[in-house]
Amino acid sequence: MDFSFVLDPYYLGILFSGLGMTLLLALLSVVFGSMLGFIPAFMRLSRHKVLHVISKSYVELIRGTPLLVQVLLIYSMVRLPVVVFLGIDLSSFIPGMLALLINSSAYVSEIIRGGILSVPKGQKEAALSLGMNQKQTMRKIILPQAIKHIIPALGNEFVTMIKETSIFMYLGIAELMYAATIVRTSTYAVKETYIVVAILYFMLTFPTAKLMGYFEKRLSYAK
Amino acid sequence: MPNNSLFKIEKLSKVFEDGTKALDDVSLTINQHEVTIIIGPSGSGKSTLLRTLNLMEYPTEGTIEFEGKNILNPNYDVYEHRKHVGMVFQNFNLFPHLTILENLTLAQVDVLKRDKSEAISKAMTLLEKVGLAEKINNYPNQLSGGQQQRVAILRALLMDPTAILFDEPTSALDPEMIKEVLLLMKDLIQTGITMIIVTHEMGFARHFADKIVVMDKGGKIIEEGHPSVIFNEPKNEKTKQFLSNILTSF
Amino acid sequence: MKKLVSLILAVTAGLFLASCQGQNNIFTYTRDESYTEYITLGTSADYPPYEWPMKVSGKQTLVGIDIEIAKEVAKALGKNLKVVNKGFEFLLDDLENGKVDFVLAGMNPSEERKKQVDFSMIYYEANQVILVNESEKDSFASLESLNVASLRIGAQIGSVQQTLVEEHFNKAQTQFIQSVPDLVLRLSNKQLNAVVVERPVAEGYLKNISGLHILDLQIGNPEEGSAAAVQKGNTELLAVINQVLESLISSGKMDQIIFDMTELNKN
Repeated sequence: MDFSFVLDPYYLGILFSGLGMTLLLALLSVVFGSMLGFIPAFMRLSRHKVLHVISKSYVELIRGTPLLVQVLLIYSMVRLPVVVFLGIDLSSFIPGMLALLINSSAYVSEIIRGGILSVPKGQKEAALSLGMNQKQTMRKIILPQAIKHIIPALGNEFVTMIKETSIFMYLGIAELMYAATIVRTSTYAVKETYIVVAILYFMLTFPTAKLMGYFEKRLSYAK
Repeated sequence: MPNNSLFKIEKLSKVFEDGTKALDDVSLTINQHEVTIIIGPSGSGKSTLLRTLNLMEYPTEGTIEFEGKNILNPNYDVYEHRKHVGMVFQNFNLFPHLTILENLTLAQVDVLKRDKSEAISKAMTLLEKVGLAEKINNYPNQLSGGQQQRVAILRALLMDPTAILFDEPTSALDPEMIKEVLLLMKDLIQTGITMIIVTHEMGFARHFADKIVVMDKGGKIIEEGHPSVIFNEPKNEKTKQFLSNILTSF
Repeated sequence: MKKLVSLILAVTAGLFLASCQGQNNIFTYTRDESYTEYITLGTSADYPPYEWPMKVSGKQTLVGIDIEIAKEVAKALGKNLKVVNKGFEFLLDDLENGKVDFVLAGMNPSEERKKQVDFSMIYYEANQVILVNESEKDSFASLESLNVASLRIGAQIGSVQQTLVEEHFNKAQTQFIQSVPDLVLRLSNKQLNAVVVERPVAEGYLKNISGLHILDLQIGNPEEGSAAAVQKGNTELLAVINQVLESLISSGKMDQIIFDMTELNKN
């Protein structure tokens, strides 16, 4: 096998550029997806039957269909002219990002909901018995304790997102898989390119997992 | 003892969806400044009854009046009510992510809108009284069970409530720590605060209760009266049964 | 917690900036400094010698037969050229939505596709060939010898080659996927016995990968070939494209382009 392209700064540059874009896409989708995810999470926890049903259906639908289908659907619905902004083709980026955000928010909402439900019932009762209202209870008692469970799960979601961003390659966003197609077509070293790309993905996911472990430790209470 | 009735409970019933009766036609008067202790076998609805008093549970039938007001009325301010009726839990339920001091000041500041410094000084005063002042910056998991429960009692007390509900406060404690909690509860009695306690500590009940309420499976009150009557000459067969089961003398 | 958030934001911002300098999928070709407008071509640069990415004078760009033709079309219109590189499936949709003005992608003007877009005249009649491993080259003397259940044959999905495989090798196991390089990889790995592709494409692989062989068998109709696509009803642009193609073919320039690009494809 011929790995010589790895020594060529031109090809390395293409691959690392792609890696950077992958990381960016994953970060954006998790960060903004998390913020969005609070909405269905709280809707599902609420006592209003209508809100509960709407959010439950939304989450189940998104989690029950492949990301690729969601991306293709949204891409065909969101029609934008080809505009290059900061070096990115917005007509592909925006629908793709939208799909990723919607997808991420559904998964994150379940993470948030799970985190909140994992806080022992007695905590809520203690807060209420002291005369705290629902909002105070959630903000000061439940959420701070839920975060302990939410953060590691979010880390997993981030790792998943890193891998899911490969969907963007079809839309022409220059993330890692797109970079791979460029390199493999120019060098004809198809297998070798895939091996290198796999290693690059691992370089992203492995430290993330470690970082999550670090945060998990820091978030547990003083011993 | 001169007293007004604090709680007036009439014909309270609670039936669950599957038909089980948690409370069955319970009527009871709780007097101010008195210590009312509820005893009975498990499944007799003691905790359920207690929890209706601060609206943690709602009955399916009946009325509850607190200081003359109907607390089951949908317009009744539940959050306001809980400022006057506090609760101590079997599992303490201290907030694990806050220090002991923060546990004690949070509700004072957020609910009673006290000044932070006032809240802190009130908390410190009580902590010193029980000898736990050096623990202010510790977290609950660094304290023993007995220490945690005493802090929990202080937490409820700092709200200056009219009454405190105790839901089996020593049942989750190792035997050697029960005494310190009971001693604190005894001290509380001197303050004149109304206390309603669900417990299995018969010694304490005998000594300190103004009224004993005996409940039985199915959520009914089978007997109530002064401890000297209940413990020495119980009128109801079932009371006799229960006491002989629980008061082990070989 | 605040530290974590600001760290994430800082990294995100940094990545944004870094990616600006990086690759993107839109390439520009200035035909003349004086031209102010652009015409946009959609293509899928995964298909030498029609279009593929290459480093030219230190910069990444797209080259190929279709790129050269597109440049001529732009010149004829007095505009500069923009090329958008995307997955093959999206090209016709993008054309329909007006995201690109025309498409050149070694694309065969099938009846299916004609329902969605309008095509120009055929500018290159490619022959289809069967690519196999050198080690098996003597095993297949006829088309029938490939139509056997134990063999696996591949082609690009949605292509005229796929139709040919379905027609001639209906007993064999088939594999239709989007990427031609992946098909050839599987052939080299002996996961496929044969791949049907256009001759110039096959020849490119032959020159760059050892162990492959083109069977000396004829398959498909030599009259089929590649054409340019425009949005349905865009008769104006279509006329210009046809004009350009005509003049390229009659002047012999088309043959030159094909020759040059095929040579360029031989690393």
